[in-house]
Amino acid sequence: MERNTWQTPWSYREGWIIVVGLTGLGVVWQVFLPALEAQVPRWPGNLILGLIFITLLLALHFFFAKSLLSKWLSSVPAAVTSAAFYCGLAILMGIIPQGQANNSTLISLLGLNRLTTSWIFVLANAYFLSGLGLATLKRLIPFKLKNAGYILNHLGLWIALTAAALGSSDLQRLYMNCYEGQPEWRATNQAGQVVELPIAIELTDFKIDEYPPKLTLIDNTTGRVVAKGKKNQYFSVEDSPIQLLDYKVEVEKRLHSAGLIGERFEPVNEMGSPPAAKVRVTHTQTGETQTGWVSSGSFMHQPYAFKLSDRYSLVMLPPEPQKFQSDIRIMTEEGQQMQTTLEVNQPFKLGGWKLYQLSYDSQKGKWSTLSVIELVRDPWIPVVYLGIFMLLAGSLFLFRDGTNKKKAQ
Amino acid sequence: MGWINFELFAAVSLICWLVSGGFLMLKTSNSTFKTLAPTVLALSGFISLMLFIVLLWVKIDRPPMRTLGETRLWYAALLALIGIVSFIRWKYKWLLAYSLFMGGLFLVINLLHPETYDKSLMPALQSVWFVPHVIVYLFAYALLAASSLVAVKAIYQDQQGKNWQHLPELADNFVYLGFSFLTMGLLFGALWAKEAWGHYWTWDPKETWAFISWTAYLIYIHYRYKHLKKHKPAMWILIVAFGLLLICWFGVNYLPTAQNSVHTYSG
Ligand code: HEM
Repeated sequence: MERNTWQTPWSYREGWIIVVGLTGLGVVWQVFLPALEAQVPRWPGNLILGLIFITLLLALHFFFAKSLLSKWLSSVPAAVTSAAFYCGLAILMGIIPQGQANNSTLISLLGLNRLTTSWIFVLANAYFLSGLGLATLKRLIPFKLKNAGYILNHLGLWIALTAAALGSSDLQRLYMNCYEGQPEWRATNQAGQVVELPIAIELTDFKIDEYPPKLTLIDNTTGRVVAKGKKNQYFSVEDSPIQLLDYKVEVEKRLHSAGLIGERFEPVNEMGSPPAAKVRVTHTQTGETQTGWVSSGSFMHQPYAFKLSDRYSLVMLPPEPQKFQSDIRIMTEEGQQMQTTLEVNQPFKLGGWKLYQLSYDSQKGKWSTLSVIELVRDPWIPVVYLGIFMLLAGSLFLFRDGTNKKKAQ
Repeated sequence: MGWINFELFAAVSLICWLVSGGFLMLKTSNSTFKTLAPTVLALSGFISLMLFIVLLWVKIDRPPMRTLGETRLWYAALLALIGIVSFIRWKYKWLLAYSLFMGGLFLVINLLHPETYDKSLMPALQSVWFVPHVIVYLFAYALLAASSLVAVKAIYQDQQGKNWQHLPELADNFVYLGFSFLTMGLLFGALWAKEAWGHYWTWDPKETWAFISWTAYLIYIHYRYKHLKKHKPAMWILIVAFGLLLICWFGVNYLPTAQNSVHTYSG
């Protein structure tokens, strides 16, 4: 039997109309009330907002369970359409570069180049989380063990997303430029403002471990790597002897830190001395052999190529970092001192902060005396992680009973 | 320096899979030819490929999961594995045949585009999360690819006027498993990002597309739950979802948003 639009129970048609309506509302809000920025208040405002949201959902669940709104929001068509709404906005984010100015006035006006802070996104989020929240409550109270998987998935997702959204305003990410031997307590936030911290950080030593440099053949006229698309474009000097097109390359001598003296390299230990290698190159067709030097160069020295023929030269590529780390001393206002080493993937916890090794002066490479340290404070993270771990547990249930469910119906 | 010969291992796999496919086409009632031979051959091809992957791992001294070419090796192996397991479990000949074909295609692509197996691994990738994150994603993609093969088959059968009502249930099995892995991959990625980059979610283009494909399969699961009888729209949702997954998998590098991604690898 044909059902009229808006006649209960609502289904997909109403779902799509709601999505279009929310989009329209978001656009109007964004365009005509740009002063009313879509921003979650800071602590404790976000906590209060969260509590109001939870109270509303509980009230709907307990006192208005039979109401159209409750029934609709906790239905599958609402879940499907709100997820599609979210998905559609994410697609826009996936296509339009975010967080940078856009040439199109329409895109800028609608806030599509900073979607996560636009009103459309806020409305989509609110709709999605209301639906998810009520769908969760539907099977959470009264609790039944057989709903465990359902609850872990739905409640977990709700907790993770709600906490992430509310907590976004309390998230602080700061960048600190630390130079060797100079204690620093000023950092820059993402808006580019300078922030003074109650702790100071002094870089005592910055170190880089490098992979052995690689050798490759380039074309003398274009300067491009010639073996492009071939299996062996370049080789580590460690893998000698190597084959590059028709040339067999043997590394005779390898220097980690070298200086050019006349036509050859000698070991030197100065800042900016690049690696170099003495190679013997044999043309496999003609058997012709030549010996020469290559060096990757550095921020202080020119690279040194070995010209093999009119067409080709052998070159050494600058070594890639394998690991970089900063030895730092941290001093608190109370006069406490501690020492630690920061490394990528190994942050250091300090009070509510986490310290990360971010980057360094890549021009200078291993001679950098600068280390950029990121300081992150995210007080809501335990709640987000609670949600994430519930979801992880829930995904195991999906594993188990996904297939059985269907047959039970 | 003893390079491992990929051509040799790939040739063994391809030949095994080709002959296995040949047996699958045979119209015979002899169970040796009908089930045993194709299973054993498909498995041999799988083992040959896994052997290459393990040797490569040892040789380059890092997990071979960094470049698109390296991940294609895994997909080829995992697709074959999924085909073999479902052939043993449900006796779906066509699924085994398709997954061997897809796996073979990946191998041929790798043969045509030989790549440098570069030993270096940037510091951010040197993490305990690297292997679990990538492995569960590989499983998820392979399973979801299998589900979309089923959906394509269903739509095709439908157009031919043939009965295909048993297929959606098979698709569901793959989707539930695949979605479970997809969720884990997404979350492992978030936990890793927190350790490596300071925040668990930054709407990096790859993250954004991973989220998009995740919601698409979420929609499929909920649609199926409510409308178990409406097979056809469900199969179309699955095909669209896989299209989005493919963008996440291969396409992100070509999008205007890609420049800022921490996930753009050389391919
Ligand atoms: C991790 C994400 C999710 C997973 C794994 C998941 C999984 C499931 C599963 C397996 C079912 C079937 C329940 C059963 O068989 O007993 C279901 C039902 C349902 N889900 Fe989800 N879901 C997720 C997210 C969502 C979201 C985001 C929403 C809403 C916005 C939602 C709303 C619903 C609704 C309304 C039902 C029907 C419940 C009922 O009628 O009792 N789910 N979900």
